[in-house]
Amino acid sequence: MTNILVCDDEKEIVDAIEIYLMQEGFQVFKAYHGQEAVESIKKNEIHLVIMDIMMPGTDGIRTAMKIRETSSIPIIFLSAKSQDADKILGLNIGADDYITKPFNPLELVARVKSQIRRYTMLGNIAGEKEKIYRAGGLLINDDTKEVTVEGEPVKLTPIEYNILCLLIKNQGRVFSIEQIYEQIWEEEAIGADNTVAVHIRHIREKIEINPKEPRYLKVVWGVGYKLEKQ
Amino acid sequence: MKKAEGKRPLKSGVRELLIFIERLFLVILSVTLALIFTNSFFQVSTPYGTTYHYGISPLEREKEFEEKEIFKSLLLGNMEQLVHYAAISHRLETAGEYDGKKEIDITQYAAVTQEGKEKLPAVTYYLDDLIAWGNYGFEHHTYKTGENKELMDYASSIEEYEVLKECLMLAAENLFENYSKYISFKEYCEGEKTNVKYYFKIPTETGELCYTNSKLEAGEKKTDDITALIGKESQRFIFFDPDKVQINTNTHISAKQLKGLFKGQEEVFAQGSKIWFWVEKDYPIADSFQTVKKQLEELQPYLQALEIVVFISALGGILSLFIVTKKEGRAFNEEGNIIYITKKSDSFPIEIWTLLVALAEGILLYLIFILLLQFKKGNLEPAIIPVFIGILAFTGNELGIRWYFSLIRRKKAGSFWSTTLLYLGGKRGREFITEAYENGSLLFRTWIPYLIFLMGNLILVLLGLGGVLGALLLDILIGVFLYQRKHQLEEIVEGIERITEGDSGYRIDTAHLKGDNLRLAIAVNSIGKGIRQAVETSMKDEKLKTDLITNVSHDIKTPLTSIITYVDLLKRENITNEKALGYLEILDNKSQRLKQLIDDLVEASKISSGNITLKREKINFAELVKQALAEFDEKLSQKQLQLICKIPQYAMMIEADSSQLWRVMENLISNACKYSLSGTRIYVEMETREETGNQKYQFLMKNISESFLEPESEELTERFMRGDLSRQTEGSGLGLSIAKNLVEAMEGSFKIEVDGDLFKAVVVFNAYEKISR
Repeated sequence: MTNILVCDDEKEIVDAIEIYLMQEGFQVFKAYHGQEAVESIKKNEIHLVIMDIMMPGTDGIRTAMKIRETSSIPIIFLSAKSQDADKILGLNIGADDYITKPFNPLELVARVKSQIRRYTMLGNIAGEKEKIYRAGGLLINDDTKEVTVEGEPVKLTPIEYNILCLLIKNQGRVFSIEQIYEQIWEEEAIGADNTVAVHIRHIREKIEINPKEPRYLKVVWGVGYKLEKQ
Repeated sequence: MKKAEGKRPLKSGVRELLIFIERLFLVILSVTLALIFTNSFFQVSTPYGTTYHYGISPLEREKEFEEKEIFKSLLLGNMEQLVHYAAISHRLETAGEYDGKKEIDITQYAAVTQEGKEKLPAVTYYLDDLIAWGNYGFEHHTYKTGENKELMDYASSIEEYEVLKECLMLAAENLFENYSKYISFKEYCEGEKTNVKYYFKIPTETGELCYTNSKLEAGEKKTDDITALIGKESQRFIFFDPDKVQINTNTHISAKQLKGLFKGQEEVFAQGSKIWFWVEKDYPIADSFQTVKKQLEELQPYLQALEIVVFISALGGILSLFIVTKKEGRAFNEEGNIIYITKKSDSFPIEIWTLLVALAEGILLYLIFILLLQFKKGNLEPAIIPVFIGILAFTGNELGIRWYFSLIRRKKAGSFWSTTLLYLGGKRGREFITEAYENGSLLFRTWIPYLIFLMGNLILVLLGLGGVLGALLLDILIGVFLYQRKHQLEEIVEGIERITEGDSGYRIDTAHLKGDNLRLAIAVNSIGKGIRQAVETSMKDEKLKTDLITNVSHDIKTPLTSIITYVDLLKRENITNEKALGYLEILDNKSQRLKQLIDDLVEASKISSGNITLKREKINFAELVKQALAEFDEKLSQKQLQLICKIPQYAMMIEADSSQLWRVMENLISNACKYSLSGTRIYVEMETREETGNQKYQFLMKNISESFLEPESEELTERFMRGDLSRQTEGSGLGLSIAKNLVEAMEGSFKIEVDGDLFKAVVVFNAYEKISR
């Protein structure tokens, strides 16, 4: 049984999240302010925390810092603050994910699952063969041509597979549309329209929870695409 | 403390006392001086009718009487009389006695006094006859000559007769005059009436003639012996040899003076004459010498005392004046510090005062001058002079001292220059000109100086070469002046340009500006200040507005989250009611729309208030457009929109914030997706353009609008403008506005064009560098 702590000063939101998580078979602990969350973590064996930032008393940021003093469990911020600066701050102080309000409940559940998997799978991967490429939760087995995201198999077309393979083999490196085209199609990129870009978009839709905010395959605007080094 | 004592101002009573002392001393001084002056002059009357006025120079005071100028004058005066007497007696006497029967040749006699009668025949008369005729008048034809002849008998013509007659009359008159003098001088010169003695030795045909008024016997003594004898017996002596113009004396009389004395007497003092004069020892005879010597001896101690008085009073006067001068104008202020003050009268124009004082003092000096002149002429009693002088000195001091102290006070208080008529007049004149210039009409300000300039040139040129040079200099100076004015104006224009360009903090340095330029610069500065304040206020307001919008949006998002979540939960309930499901779908759509609106609102307000930070980096504009288009691949095909791309293969490197530029493209393309007529084509064209030497990259997107595009293109980009349109469709209406603001923040240009149903969006950026490939 996985225990999740949900902390928000808005009771209705906590209740709604509880419904979704319980449907997925998680045990939910509830807290309505930062102090309560810290105490709950001390009392119970909590595996993941979903927490608001703007709360009366101790706010989410300070609560997260306090949790990080003793624990390394995944923390997902759930906040109305949608600015980039807010997200960067949240992730920098030790949160593992940041979801803006109003959120898509399904996305929330998917992200929770992703964090749990990663947390529990950590260090479990051993005896991997050479032909297996990995970037965080993304796994490519070049022998079997199988692609899994956090254990879930993903179906890709051959071109999509080749592109993803190219990127995962060169994690962190940015490929321009031209470069990708030349590598995959093995011909000069004259008149190459946005085919590559469309393919990448399709890959993103298949491997990412929210394609608009990709975690793996990222768009470097005006330069190209890359697979984030995890 | 002691030092402070010295700086103290005088008490009013002490000051008045000191001034009184000063005045008193001045009066004493002037009265004493007047006394000295009046006593330095005295008159000496001589028996022979001349009155001498003598002034004793202070330089001669210590000299002995015999060394003084007065002694010399008296001696010369006496000698002159004696020589004169000797000459007369030589003519009237024979062997030392008056000889009435002496025959006088009138033509020869007249020749002595009148020249050019030598050709006339000798006509002799008896002395007695001539003197009698001179006295009582005569008729020449009745009186006979010594030869008992008529005058007519001598004349060869009537002209000669007339001349002879004239000679006769002249000789008679002259002889009578000389005779009168002879009679009156005889006692003075020969008797015991003067201390001056003479001894004349004159050679004659028969031997030697001696004239003297002394006891010295006439004899065959040698010249040097006589000189030695006289030198021993006399107070002072003179020996004179007219032939050699040689003098031996112990007086200050020179040979030249003696020569002058004997001029015209050559007939009497014939060649070989020897002359001695001397003054008797100790002045035994009561004459002018004795009187003057006595008077001088009486005056000597008296004058010395007066001189001491002069010295003391001068010193005292100066000292008291000095003290008052030093302390004048000083006063204590409320804190007990020393300040310099002026009196009410000190604001009276100094020039007028000076003029009045000078006039009054001049009159006083003139009065003194007149007084002394009259005294010298002997018209005034000596006793009156000091009294008058004292009164005049008092008045002069009274007039002058007020002026003097006012001058001192002005100088100390530093108001000397500012109270002058020149300054006041200059100031008034300046004010008048400035006022006339500043308030005058444009005509006055421009044409009058120009006319003055022209007239000045004309007048100078008419004056000749110097004037031409002067005019040239004047023109150069005016040229320099005009250049400076223009230079100043240029600075102001530069300032205006800088303010116009947005540097509202710029201020024109007004320190060296004048006149119109100064006024202009001050006005420009205040405009700049106003702009700056307005900009600052507006920035602040925008920031506040953005903060407000951001905070409110956070508050709205919380209940919205609940709405969205619970709508989703409702959808998960197995609702079979079709209507309910439809309502739920609307709720879902609209709540999602609300979410989008809130995000756009925050974004738009942030961008428009300049509240975003841009991460400028080098990116490929073409690549970004391709990526962006790929993102909308599905949406476009959903609406059956065909995308026609014309994007060059080469990289279009620009400097921009990539994620913000993505947002711009996202807005533009999603707009095209939303509002394009289904089944039409969307054209995307990118190209390089050369504009005024700069390389630019242009993005152009064209699509056919689904609904009628009413508003002007520019209004499309205005926030909240879309009103009715936005209500019906899915966008917030802020997309274009956000895109435009972002592009402009990145120094690009954003333009919307509407041509019928054709909607065109153009985004242009400067090339980061030349085409790299």
